[in-house]
Amino acid sequence: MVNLVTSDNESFTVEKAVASRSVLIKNMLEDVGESDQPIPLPNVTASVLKKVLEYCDHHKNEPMPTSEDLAAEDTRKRTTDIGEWDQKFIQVDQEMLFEIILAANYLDIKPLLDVGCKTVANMIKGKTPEEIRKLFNIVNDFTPEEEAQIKKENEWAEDR
Amino acid sequence: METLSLGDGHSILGAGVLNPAKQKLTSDEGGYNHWSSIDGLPEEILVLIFKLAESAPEDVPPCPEATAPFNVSQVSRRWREIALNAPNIWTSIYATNPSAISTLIARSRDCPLDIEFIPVKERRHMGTLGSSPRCLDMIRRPITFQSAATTLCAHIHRWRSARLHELDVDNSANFLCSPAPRLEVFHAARLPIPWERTTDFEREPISCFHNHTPRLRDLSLTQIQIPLTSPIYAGLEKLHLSSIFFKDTQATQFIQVLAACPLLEELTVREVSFSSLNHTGSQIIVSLPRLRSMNLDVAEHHARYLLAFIQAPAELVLSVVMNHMRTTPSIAPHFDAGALERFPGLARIHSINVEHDERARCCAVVGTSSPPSEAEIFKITYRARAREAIRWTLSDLGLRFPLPSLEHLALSSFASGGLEITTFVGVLENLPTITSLALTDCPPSFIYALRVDAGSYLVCPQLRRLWLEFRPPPDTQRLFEVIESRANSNRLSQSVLLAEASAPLFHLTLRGSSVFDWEIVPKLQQLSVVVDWAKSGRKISEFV
Repeated sequence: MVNLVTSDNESFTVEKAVASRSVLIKNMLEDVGESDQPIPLPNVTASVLKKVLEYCDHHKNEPMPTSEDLAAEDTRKRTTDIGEWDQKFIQVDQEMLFEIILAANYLDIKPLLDVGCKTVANMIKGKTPEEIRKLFNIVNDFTPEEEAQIKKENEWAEDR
Repeated sequence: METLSLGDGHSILGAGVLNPAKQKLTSDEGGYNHWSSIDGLPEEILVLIFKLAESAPEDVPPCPEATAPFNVSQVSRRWREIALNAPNIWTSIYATNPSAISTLIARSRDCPLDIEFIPVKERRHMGTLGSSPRCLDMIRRPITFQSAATTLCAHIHRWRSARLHELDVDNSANFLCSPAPRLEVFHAARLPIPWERTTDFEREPISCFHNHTPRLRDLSLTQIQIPLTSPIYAGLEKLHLSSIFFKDTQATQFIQVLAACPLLEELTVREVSFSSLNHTGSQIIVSLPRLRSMNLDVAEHHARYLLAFIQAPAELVLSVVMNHMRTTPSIAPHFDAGALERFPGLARIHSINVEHDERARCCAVVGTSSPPSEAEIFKITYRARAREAIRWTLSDLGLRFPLPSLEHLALSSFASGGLEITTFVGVLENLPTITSLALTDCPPSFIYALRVDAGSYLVCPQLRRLWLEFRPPPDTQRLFEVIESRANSNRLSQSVLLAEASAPLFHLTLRGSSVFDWEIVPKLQQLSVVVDWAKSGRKISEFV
């Protein structure tokens, strides 16, 4: 078993197979060998780690992506399809979604990072800039000059 | 601002692992939207998201303003800066406005390009703008590859993939003449001409990319003939050829093409023909150890020819559609002595299902592996002269077409003809390993032929399970005699060897109409046979 300590000082004891879905933790365990020392995760809060561990537990028996898999992704056309369980898992509010993405990046859990990024990408697809702003609560901070430049760029959208 | 190589998952992850401080991007940094949680994501993750949003042009309406990366580059100052500094999110070029194409090419800088001009009807529209007047206009009147060809072809050296459907070959071939050193995928389909006959596949051959495509691995051509002598065919992993007549070309040339693709994984040859098959002289057998799927939909003699010269691995899924049948009385004349060596997957076939369609005059023979996977190993469909073909094919099973592991045979829809009783008995004689037989809508004579008589040849000596679904129903008394004889087959057979080798029937499934005399069921149950019966028919897939 592995003991993980979150930024808000909460402890999680999990199976090694579950914790090792994180390449970061896997490498730490390999470096320190057998040890009862807790592993601090200063960039992850308890609520987010709980969610991440739920993902890791569900996928613990799946093969880890190999370097060949990652290299093959370069040449393959990427899709934004998400598995059924993962879709349900990632149905969280935006704040949690972005926290999961950050945690997946920090913990080096590539499949979870993919699920999070694909979810956001699917939210963006087919939307206008204004719709995206509204969706993510982003302020249009372009100066009037920049707005004019963008409008000029968009003129080709009218020139058919 | 730093630019990230998007395809490199390591660099994205590495940024997080190696520089954890970067994870805690705060709203203190300039240009951030303080109240937007998405702007807490670091730049490299936003780039990844932008790339994913961009990567499927068939999913979005062809309106640039609602399509990534155009839309994301106009959201905020930070997003715009990130987008303009990530050339690899601008590399998917599809049928949109010519000015947008120029913008994509400029902003993608030197990155490899993915070109996709697909028919509008193949798009799956989504997003609120998909139904806006401007988008609808673009959907109705999409630009063609030709209208953007000059711009795009000036960058052929950057093409990584090109999917050009409905290509006006006569007006495009000149554009596609530069070398394509980075091209990995090339799919091209000729623009259909309304007044042409669909069967008129004779075209003038064209040359593409100055015959220089050293990285090409996936080639699909429809109604476009590139001579088989072209080096464009070498080293492919996927090859799809459709509706092509290779004029002045012998089929041996195609075998040589396959020999130059030892890593081939997928092969589709559909409505392709050659001027000559050239049966004379010795032929090489082409070994394709990575071939996973082979789909042949060609004239019967062409299919036989190709099957005769390919050696495939056991994992191959073979699908053959035979058209324009001639009178060759076997599934493949060369498909005998070395069949198991060249198609070792035949040894995995556990089940054969033969479905006849008298009205459509076609017939399908499907071979699958054993449960629980029941994966399809081969499928042969006959579209013309199905009656003759099915007779020849079934006669070949177990002989020219070795099936050492076959245990289950299912025949359906022969009640109105298509298979003579003598052929049926001959088939069973050639398949002594069968332990289960399913007959659905077959003539009652097929059932009567299963009767074991003292002194007669015992067909299907290992038959343990029988599924009968009948329309019309058999004679009740004769059915009882058949089942009784099968239940006691090891006692009735006079041959000691056969008696020892035979197995009594122990499971009978009956499905049929109410006109059948179901009073027989209690009598059958007294024969040490498990009887599963129901008046209404059920699907044959229930039978294992």
